[in-house]
Amino acid sequence: MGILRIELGRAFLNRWFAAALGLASAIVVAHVAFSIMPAAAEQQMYVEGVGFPLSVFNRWIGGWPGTVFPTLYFFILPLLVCLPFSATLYSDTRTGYDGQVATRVSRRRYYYSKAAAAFLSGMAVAVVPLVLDFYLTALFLPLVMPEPASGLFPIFPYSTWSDIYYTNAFLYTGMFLALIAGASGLIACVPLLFSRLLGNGVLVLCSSLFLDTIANYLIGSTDLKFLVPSVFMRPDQPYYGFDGIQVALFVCGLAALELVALYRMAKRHETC
Amino acid sequence: MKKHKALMFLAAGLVVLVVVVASAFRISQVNSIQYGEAPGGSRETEDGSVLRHLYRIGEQIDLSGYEADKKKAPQGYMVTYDSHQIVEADDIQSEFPDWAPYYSSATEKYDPEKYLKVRMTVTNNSEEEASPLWFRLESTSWSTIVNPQLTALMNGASGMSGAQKETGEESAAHGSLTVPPHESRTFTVVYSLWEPTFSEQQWQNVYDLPYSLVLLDYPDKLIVNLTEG
Repeated sequence: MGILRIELGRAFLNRWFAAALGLASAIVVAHVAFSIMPAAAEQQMYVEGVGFPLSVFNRWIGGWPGTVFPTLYFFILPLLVCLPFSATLYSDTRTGYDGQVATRVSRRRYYYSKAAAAFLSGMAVAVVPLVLDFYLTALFLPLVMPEPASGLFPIFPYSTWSDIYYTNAFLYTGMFLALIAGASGLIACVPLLFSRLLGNGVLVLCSSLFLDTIANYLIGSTDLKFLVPSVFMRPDQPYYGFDGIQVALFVCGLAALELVALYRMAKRHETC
Repeated sequence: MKKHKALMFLAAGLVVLVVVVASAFRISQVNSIQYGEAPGGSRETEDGSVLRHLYRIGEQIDLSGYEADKKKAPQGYMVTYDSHQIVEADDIQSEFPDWAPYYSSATEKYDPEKYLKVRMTVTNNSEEEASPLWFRLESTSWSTIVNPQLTALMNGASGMSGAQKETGEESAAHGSLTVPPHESRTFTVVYSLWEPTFSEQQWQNVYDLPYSLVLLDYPDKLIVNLTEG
C-alpha cells in the first residue's frame, strides 16, 4: 500500500498533471467560447426553422463533430493522458530511483503500483475536462433529450448504442465516459511497456500518440476501427458505428497484455 | 498557521457553494426558457424536454396553429391517419408503370427500397386553402421525411419542385396537394425505407418495427402510433 500511495502522490501532485489538465481545459474553454456561446445565440433560429432547439447532447464536445475542438481533443488525448506519469518508469530507471525502490518492495509491486497510478491519472486527465465541457455547455443550452425526427443529432441507427442515445441520453453519455475513462487509463500505461525498450524519453512519452495515429491512418476508416482509441472513444461518432463487444474485447485484451508485459518485465529485472 | 489553513478551507468551501448555487440557478433558467409561442397559448417545459401528445390511428388531431417546415396550419385544420402498409418497389411499379425508383443506381449493393404508405385525411374548417403539414416517420433511433415524388404521384399531383422537396412541401404551381376551405381530402403519404439508413438489426425486422408519425413543433411533439392498436 505504501508504494502505491507514493506513486499516486507522484502521479497527481506534479506539474505535468496540472499542465495536461490545463491544456485539455483550455480546449474545452475554447470550445465553449467559439462553439457553444454562438450556438446559444442562434437558438431561436433552430426552434423556428427546424422546430427543435439545440441541446447539450448535440453540442457538447462529445456531442457534435462539426467543429475542430472534438477532433483536436481526441487526437491529442493519447498524449495528454501520458503526460502526468507515463514516462516516469523510464526516468526512474535512468536516475536509479527504481533500484532504490527495489530494495524495499518487489519490482512487480512497484511496476503494478506505477501502472495503477498512471491508469488513474490518465483517466482523470481524459474525463475531468469532458465533464467540465458538459457542465459549461449546460450553462448555455438546455438538456433537451435527443429526438431523431429533428435531424439535429449526429447519432444514426447504425451508430453504436443509438437506441440508448435516443431513449436515455444521460446513460449513453455515462457509458461513453466510462469507455473513455477505461481506455484512457490503459493508453496511459502503454509507455510503461516501452520504458526499457526505447532509449529516448520523448519517444517513450509519445509512444501512445504515435501508435494511435499510425493505427488511425492505417485502419481508422476500415472495419477494424475498433482497434483505434481516438476513433472508438468519440461519443459523437463521426464514423460508421462499431460493435460494442469488439471494443470491450479490445480494451480487455489491452489490459491483459499490459498486465502480462509488466509481470514479465518485473520478473526479468528482479533477477538482474 | 492552523487558523490560516481553516480560513482557506472555509473560503474555498464558500466559493464552491457560490459556484454550485449559481450554476444550478443558471441551468434551471436555461431549461425553462420558452421558445416561441405554442398553439393554444404559451407553453413552457419544466426540464426543457418536449411535451408529448400521443394519438392513435383513426383519432382526429387538431393541428390548428401548429407549425412544421416553416408552414403554419390554419385554425380548424384537422388530420386523421389510417393504418399503414409497407410495400416493395415492384408493387408501386405495377401500379405506376412509368415510375422508377429514384435511387435505383445507388442502391445496387443494398436491398431494394421499401415504402411505407399511410392514408391521411385532412379536414380544413378554415376560410383559406390549406396545404398539408407533413409528419415525419420515426422508429426509435430512425427517422425520415415524406417521399415527395411518390406522395405527389400517388395523389395525382405532377410533382414537388426544387428546394421544396427537401422539406416535403408541395409546389403551389403543381398544385393539387391542397385542401379547399370547408372540405376534407384524403391523401396517400409515402415514406421511403432505405436499408443504409437503418441498423442491420432494424432492417432485418423492417416490417415489424414500432413506427410512429411525429410532428415536432417545440416544445410539442405530436405522435401517432402506427403499430399500436
